[in-house]
Amino acid sequence: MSTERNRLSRDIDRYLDGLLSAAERADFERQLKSDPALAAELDLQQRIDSSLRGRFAPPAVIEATTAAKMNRAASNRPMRIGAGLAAAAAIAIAGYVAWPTARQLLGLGGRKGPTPIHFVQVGAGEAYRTQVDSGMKPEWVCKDDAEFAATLEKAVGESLVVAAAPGLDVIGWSYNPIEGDKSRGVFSGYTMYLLTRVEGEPVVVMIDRTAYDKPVEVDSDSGLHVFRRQIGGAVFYEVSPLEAPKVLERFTPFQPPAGE
Amino acid sequence: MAGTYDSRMERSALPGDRAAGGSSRPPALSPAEFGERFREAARTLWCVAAAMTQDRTEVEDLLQEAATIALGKLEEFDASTNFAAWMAAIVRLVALGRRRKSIRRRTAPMDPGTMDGLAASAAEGKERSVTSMGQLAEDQQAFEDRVVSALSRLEESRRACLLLRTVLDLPYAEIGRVLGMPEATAMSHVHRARLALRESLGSGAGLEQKHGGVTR
Repeated sequence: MSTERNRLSRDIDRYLDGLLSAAERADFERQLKSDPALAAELDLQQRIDSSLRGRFAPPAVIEATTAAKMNRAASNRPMRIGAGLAAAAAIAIAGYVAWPTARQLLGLGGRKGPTPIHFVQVGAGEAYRTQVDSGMKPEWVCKDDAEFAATLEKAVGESLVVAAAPGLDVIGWSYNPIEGDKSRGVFSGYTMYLLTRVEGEPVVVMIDRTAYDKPVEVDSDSGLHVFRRQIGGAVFYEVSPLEAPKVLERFTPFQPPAGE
Repeated sequence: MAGTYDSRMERSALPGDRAAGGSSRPPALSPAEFGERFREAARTLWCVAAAMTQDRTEVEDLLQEAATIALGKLEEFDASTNFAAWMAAIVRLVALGRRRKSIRRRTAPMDPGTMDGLAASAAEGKERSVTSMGQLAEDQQAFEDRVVSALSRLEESRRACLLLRTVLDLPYAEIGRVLGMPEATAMSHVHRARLALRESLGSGAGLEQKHGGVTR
């Protein structure tokens, strides 16, 4: 590489980094006007930088979700999951640790210390019964649509809410139960379960990324029905005693209120 | 997810690990403090993870796995040291572990037709359309794809330095602290990465023609 080219390349860097003095910047900008090759090089670098920012900018939803949940965890608002688990919630709040995993690693209901957790695939019928038998008790309840959409977007990349409907009661979120060193779920260790009641009946929507999709069946004598819907990169399976889907059709893109 | 825990992580020394022995150890982080520090470092760690995988959909998985492991090693972390640097090292270890597994999966026999297709795709990626001024003449999406492709050919440290500088505008001193290198090295990595990308994307010949030097 020629010395001159090397110097100009470094000047481009220093110019982009704001490291040139006022006099050096003025001199560089004069040179840009008289040197089309240098101007083209700078233009190319700026296009590259713009592409990198577009492709690799961290999602804003991370901070919004964590800020909202951190405030909630710090408040005196009674939590269904108990005050002792608030610390684990703070970890899940960071957004990168599934709630049951955080609970396990903090020795709350599991072994302390590093714990290898193994995913065990179970059928949709078994997962449904697990939720019903535990009373359809959610592990997390979103306080509003924005938090719901952010939760779903974080989990499966789709910002959606469940539109209200008569007879439809959205209870909250649950995750794969952890038993010892096993995470038992339908699709993956990340599968999420939206607990609802429709016309008084327990209905569970099992959600995961399409990368983990697999055929879902239930026993013919279980009295259950399974309905599937794909939205973008996520799959939704409604497992229900009802003969028609009632929740899948209610998922709709989240629209922030005007002014936000 | 869960089955990828690697017990070697437990024995690996990481920057920020508390030294063995000694009568007075600084307190480890509480889980709540971990959550707060992780939140503060999230954007930086995102870029470090993106540098390792360049696949946006994998970045969050990578970070989740790294956070899970870090929680298990919380007692080993010296809270007086750089949290982002400690986490960044874990992110990179996790990414390397995943890559090793991925390489093993790809050794399955392939259809010769598939290999020909891959070679053709690779060849197409090197073609580009340029104007007489050495400027690119293609749509933005194709350009971005080529940027990502060129980025993938950089050495990992250079990629990480470049993304931290370009995407987050992190000062070079902070980049050096996070990635465990001198500030001057971080600056050099960014310079060389920028140069490599410009050369790969076609306009480097412009400066060569005007200002002399050997064209590679």
